[in-house]
Amino acid sequence: MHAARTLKLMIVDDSNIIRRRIERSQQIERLQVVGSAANGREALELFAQTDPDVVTMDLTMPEMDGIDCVEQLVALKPALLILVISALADKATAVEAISRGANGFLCKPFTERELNEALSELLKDG
Amino acid sequence: MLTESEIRTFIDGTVRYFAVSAGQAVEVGAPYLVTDGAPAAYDYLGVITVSGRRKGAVCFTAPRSMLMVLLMRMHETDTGDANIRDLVGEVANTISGNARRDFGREFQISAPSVVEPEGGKFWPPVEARPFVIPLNWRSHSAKLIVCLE
Amino acid sequence: MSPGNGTAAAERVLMKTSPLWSRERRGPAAFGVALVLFTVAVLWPAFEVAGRLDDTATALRLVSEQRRQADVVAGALASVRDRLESFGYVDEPLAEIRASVRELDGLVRALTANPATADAFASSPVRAIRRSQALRADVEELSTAWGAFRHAVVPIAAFSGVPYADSESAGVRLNDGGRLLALETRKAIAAVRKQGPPLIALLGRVATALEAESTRLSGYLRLLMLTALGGALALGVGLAYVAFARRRATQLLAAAERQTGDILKTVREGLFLLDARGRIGTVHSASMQRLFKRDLVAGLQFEELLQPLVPEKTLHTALRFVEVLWSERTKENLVKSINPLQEVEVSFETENGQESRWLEFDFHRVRHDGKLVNLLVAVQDVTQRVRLAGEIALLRERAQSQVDTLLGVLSVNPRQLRSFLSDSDAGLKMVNARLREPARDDAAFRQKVDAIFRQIHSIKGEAAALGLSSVQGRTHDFEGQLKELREAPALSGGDFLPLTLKLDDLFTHLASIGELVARLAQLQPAAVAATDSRAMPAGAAPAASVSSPPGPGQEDDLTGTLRQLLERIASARGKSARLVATGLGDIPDVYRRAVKDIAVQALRNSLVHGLEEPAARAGSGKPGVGTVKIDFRDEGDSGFRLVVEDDGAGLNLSRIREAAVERGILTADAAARIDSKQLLPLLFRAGFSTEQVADGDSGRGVGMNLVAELVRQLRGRVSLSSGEGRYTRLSIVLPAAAAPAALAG
Repeated sequence: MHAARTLKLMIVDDSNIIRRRIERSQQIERLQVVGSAANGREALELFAQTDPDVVTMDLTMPEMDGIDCVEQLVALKPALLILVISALADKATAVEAISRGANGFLCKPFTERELNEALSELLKDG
Repeated sequence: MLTESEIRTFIDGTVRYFAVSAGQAVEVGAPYLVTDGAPAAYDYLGVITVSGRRKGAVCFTAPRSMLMVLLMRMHETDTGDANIRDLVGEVANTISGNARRDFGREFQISAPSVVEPEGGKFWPPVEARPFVIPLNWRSHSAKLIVCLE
Repeated sequence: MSPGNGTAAAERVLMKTSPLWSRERRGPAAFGVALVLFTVAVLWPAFEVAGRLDDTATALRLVSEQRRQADVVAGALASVRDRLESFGYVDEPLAEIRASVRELDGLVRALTANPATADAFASSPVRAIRRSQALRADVEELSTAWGAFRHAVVPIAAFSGVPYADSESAGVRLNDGGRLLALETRKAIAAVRKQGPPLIALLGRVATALEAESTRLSGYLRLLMLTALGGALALGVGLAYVAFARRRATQLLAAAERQTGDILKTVREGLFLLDARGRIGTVHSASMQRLFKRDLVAGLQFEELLQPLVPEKTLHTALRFVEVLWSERTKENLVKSINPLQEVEVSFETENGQESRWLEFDFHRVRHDGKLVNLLVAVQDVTQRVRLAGEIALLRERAQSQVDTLLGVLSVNPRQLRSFLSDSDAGLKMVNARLREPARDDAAFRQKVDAIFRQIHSIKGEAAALGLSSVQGRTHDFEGQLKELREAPALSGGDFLPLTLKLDDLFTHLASIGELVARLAQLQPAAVAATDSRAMPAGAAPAASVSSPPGPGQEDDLTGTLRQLLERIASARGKSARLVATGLGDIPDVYRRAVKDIAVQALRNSLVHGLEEPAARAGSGKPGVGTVKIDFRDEGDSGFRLVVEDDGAGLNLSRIREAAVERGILTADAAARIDSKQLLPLLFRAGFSTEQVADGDSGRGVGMNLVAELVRQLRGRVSLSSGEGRYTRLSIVLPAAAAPAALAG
């Protein structure tokens, strides 16, 4: 990954407030928000339109839940970086999400700093 | 029957939510029981239905005035009804989701639903005696209701 | 071993990658290379130079030896000439000439021969000449000069025979040969005079050059030898060091192996390695066997190790997690944060049934040259920690008490029980209402604690009276919790959670007793209804007859309850007592509950503090059986009076003084000065008790406070009097027109 390249970020969360909070709080310079979706189904549609490089993904959502969505997105684009942002704080959920292809896990509620740390950790090589 | 650490989990989750999201601590009052069935609710009621090893519901209920202040603390300018409902649902979701840290995966929670308090009360889906944890935030009062069997 | 720094050491222990070991391995190899280099760099040139020096020395010796041969030839020629003139004997100089020619021939041949034919290992003068361009030119010149010289001398050398003719007539004279020889000799002398000096000069030049070369070579050789000496010395030192280091390394290795063994034998953590196929390595700590209760661990699949111990879902998550660990794309921090085996319950089949422990698994990726080769797993038994944090013990205790509850319920009069249940339910609701009252500061929280304490104490008192040990135990624990809160430096809402839980438990417990009572009533409806008795029919509950009070006629419920309490406490304390109760059946409803609570507390005080043990009573001339009188009467306009009096030792004023000082209520001085009128009100204060240890019947310092609080709520008056060695009397007056709001509470 090259430091200079701008990366497209897609936000998936059923809460409008959280979507806006992520958009407002993220301060990684080379990340540019290209859109947000309220559930897994919307996320897949938006993915097809915007081809993002990075996704933040809620897990508990109506329609299609986050874990299924992670799996489908990774199948479409293996290089996609996915940060799961969920209130589900148990280890088994985290393991499940990571083993299905997510690259990071952030627990709600989160501070601005925690969000940015999680995102930079996600974008770090290796 | 619920154990102390189980309820403590919900209390800690609530305290954490306010500390992190609103940047202002919430004061927890002495928890009490509801012995006549249905606890009184405030204007908004976010309900998470719990299934799996535990059955029942976890709710967060708060008056409109408090939720508006909370939204503003979160830099949300839109304090309309839809946004307030979103917030109440998210608080309930976060608190009950966090509880999985201690309850484990068997603690299955639904996506939040925000309901009109029927007759100003929350009618629990199970027979267990509801625990009410009073919350004081700034000059406002809210409640966390834990009703699990 | 803490998981952080311990694991690096553990990894080294398990992988046996001591850096010392590999360094020492390299020593001997380096030594061999040094030896070869030394041979090539020093000894081979030395050998070379020595050969050249030998060649040069041989050439020099040859040249030096033959250097004078030209002079010898010149001398011999002169001698030939002179002898011919004097008819001397010429064979001798001729032989000299021939020898010299032969020698010089030999020299020139030796210096100009084809070097290829020379023996490689013998010295070869020609090789010395060939190595130098200048020498080669000189030797070629020498060869030419020698050719000319030889040419002049050869005819003389070739002469043989006698140069003289001897005749009588002429005497001795030269014959033909002699004349020719003389002629040739003169010619040769002339030629040698001309050819000799260059030849000699050339020989000299060659000799000098050879000598210089020889000096140079021997200097060079000396240098080489010196270097060799140095090198040999260094190698010797090196060799000695390597030998020393290897010995040390071997010792260290042995020590390290011993330590490794010791660590693996004694470490309390289970340490093992997992390979990419999920197999457990052969080297692991001995504690693995203890932790997993199986003899053979090495070589097992991780799945096989866990499978019998954890539920299917946990196993699934664990294996999933191990897969994630092997995936290089998952980062270390992330992996650590999602470890599902950080605290996992495992259960073992043992002889005594199922045994459950808690284990903590810690995973570390082990890399070699950046490549993931193993997972190091550290396992710890954290059961103690989990148990302390959890409430396993509590839950277990609860299950145990179910049986006690049933037995307790069976021995109680159903009517008393129903009244107890409804009073207690009201009491618990009161507790809940107290919990619910808004409070935001410490003082408000402390008021809550005191109010709740009184309610719970009253329930406990009656439960004790009825012998309901399951309720009594619960309320006793409840009080313990309240006491902790009372002693806490600062209170907040969250601190009340244990109370709320205990309250919930009490509600549930009382409800289950209620159900039990209802079910028993259904089983024996006729018997219960018919007798409305204090006892269950003998068939249903054999224990019931024991607690059935003696005496004729019908006794009211309160008297029955108090009698049971008296019997129970008296027998527990080794005392003998009887109850004389009057008027308890006529208490107005509005006072019924309060009077019951007050009577229970007062009776308990009389039994615990007032009445002496039989021996002591006998000593002071009293009857062995003590008496507690409880009297309730309607005094018309002046209200109702309740008196509880015992014929015991009276109040122990000095003990009350001591307790007041111990509890910091009074200073020692004040306590000594204060009189009994001022002292007795202390007994009604919250938390005041003269007992050191709390048990089911006393010691929390709540009883008298509860009495005072109840009387205050009812707007009554309370007084306490005592005669030393004779009696203690509690007297309470309640207003006649009683409908105080406080009762609704």
